[in-house]
Amino acid sequence: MNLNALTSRLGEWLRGNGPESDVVVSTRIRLARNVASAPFTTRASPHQKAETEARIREAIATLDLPAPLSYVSVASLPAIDRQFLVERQLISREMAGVLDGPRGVAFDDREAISLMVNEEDQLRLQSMRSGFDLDAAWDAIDHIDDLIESKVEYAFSEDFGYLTACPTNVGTGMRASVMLHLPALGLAKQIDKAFKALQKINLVVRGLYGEGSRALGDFFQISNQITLGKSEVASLNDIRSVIQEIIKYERMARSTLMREARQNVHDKVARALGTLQSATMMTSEETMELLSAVRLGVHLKLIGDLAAQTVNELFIHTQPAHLQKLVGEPLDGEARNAARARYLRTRLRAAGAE
Amino acid sequence: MKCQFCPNPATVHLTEIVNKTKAEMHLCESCARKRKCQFCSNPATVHLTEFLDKKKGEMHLCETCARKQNVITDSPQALNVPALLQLMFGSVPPTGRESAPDAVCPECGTPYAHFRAQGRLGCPHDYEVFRPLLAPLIEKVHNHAGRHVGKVPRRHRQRMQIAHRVDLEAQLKSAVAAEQYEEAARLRDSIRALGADHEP
Repeated sequence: MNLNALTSRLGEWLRGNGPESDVVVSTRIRLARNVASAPFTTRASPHQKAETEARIREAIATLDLPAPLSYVSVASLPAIDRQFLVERQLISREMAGVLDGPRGVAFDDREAISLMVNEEDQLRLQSMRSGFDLDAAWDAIDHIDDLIESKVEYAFSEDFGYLTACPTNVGTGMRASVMLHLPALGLAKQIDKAFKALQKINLVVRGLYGEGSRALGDFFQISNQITLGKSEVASLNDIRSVIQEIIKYERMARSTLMREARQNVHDKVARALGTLQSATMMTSEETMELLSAVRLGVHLKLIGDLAAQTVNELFIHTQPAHLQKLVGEPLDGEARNAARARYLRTRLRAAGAE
Repeated sequence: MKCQFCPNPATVHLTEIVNKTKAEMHLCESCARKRKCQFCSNPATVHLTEFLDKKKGEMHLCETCARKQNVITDSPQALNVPALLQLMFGSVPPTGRESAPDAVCPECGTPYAHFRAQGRLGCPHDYEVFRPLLAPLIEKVHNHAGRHVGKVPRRHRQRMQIAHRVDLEAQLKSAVAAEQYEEAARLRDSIRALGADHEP
């Protein structure tokens, strides 16, 4: 499959619509599954990994799904393509970098489903939705899980549930993550307060690209930590009620900002846009911070003529691998920062944002 | 003078100046230890208590040292379980009852020590083989969860139903043999109910 064709498209999670999309970027649910009576990926020989890959690949290929899945063998991809898939959130950073041997990913055209094979667990099923839509994400992945289970016997125990390579995932094997954009709580320095409640109920906050990544541009991922002793539905309900609260706080903070400090917010947004439109060097961190302010401006209607979707597109296109694909040559260091700035200038001028 | 945090006598007296305000502290030795990082003299903000096979381990660290020791990672809530265990119990292995810490899974050949070092198990069998060692850890990680609640694979559900039916049928047979007809009628009803639930 030609990955370059994906560059011009936006994956499901960046579509910019869906419920509560002023605050919630996307919803993602993943299930960790392993085949019964085979060693887990990290203890499997290359031969065993190849066998598992072939077995699961065959099961995936014959699934009765409305949208066909394409399988990409990650092991044979050059580093830039692996990074490209990480940026689109189709594979994990571990799958791109740390893990080795036969492994791959199947996903649909919409990029709403991604099935990783031979990740830390032999199967990591993911479903993505833009906006806040836990039910749709769960229904989709629950269905695919049933279909695969009819072809492959999963490792399961009555006491411990679905057996996973790391005991932190055992039980349901489910991690539901909601990506939030909380610039107003960030400006009001209320983030910590808003998150304090999360720890008590075993929810985790992470940066944009998952475990260990920094929270940039006031984007946060909130997910459940506990997978044993609580059903999928109960976990989803817990997350739902917390996210609803945080959305409420963020909206309150936004309207307070508009009431009390409209001029300041407008200035911040305008300066961010101005910098993006005229800078000649731009790191990805700075891009993220500035686009975060612009995204806030779009939702507060402080910027005309710029769609939320365009902001998302700039966000993904300025990631290192995407940028290099768009430019058509490998870039590093200063050359990459210059290319990023040039890309942002051109796109924002074409969009006529002011 | 008594310790500010417990009824023990205060033997450590500290004076701290925070934001131009002078604060005095009078502590017993054990409470004083908890205030300072075990690796440097910074204030301890990460406090950990772990029980492994009835052995209690306590750690008091500042955030920098906790990071250095890999106990906490960059994501705020994630604890590195193997690093934490390593740090608390060092090379002293916990004394298991049924399953010794040098146990090896006969199925995949993974030693328990590998899990301790890597935090990843070798195969699904490890959950049974290392159960006595793993169970307390799993319980802790999952907030004192008991057993799995939630989705069950269809194959597994069907197997359980069949096993249940076989079990009821055996009970029915012995009830009839013992001329316990009331019990037999009850069992027959249960078997019939199973039949009605039976998925095609």
